[in-house]
Amino acid sequence: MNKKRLERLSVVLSVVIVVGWGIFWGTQVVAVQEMLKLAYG
Amino acid sequence: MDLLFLFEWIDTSMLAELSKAYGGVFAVVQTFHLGAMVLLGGMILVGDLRLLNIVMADVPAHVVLKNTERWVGYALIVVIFSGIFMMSAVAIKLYYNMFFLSKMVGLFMGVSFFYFIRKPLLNTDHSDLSPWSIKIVAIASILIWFSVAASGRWIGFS
Repeated sequence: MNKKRLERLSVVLSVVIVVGWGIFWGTQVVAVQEMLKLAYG
Repeated sequence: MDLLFLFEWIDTSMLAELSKAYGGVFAVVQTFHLGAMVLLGGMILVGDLRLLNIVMADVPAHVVLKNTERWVGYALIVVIFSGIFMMSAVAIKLYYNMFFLSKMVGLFMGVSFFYFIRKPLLNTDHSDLSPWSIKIVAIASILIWFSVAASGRWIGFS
């Protein structure tokens, strides 16, 4: 694959990963907070 | 696709008999698994931190990557084989564990990202690449592998 094309693809994929990571782990942190609230009030 | 049959097959395999019956063998294999994970994570992190100009800034980044990538490959082989042995001891339990699935998806993503994106893009001279492209790839790589490690630890608490 052409290097410029690979660079563009890499940037798009990386941005998707970074944003997706934030959303996924964000929901997990919320879930853990809910669990702690249920357990300890 | 339901993979329960695969986990059931592993649970009744000779490998599972060995891993369930001999705690000492399990412990030795686990030691290799942990050691290989340290090597894998360390090599990935050194490469990514170099791409972010945090460590070894006086060494060209593609040289650091070329030297660390080989060890990532070796570590992956050990991690995968020792991991299969370890999972055979608790295969059915892991089938129902969401974080095991999360770890496997993360591992698949990490390996794919490493061999199809990071390696072909970055193990040659970086002068024709935008510094921002290099940095976002390094951040994405760190986040993927962090997720694999976090999911792996989370298995023990779920």
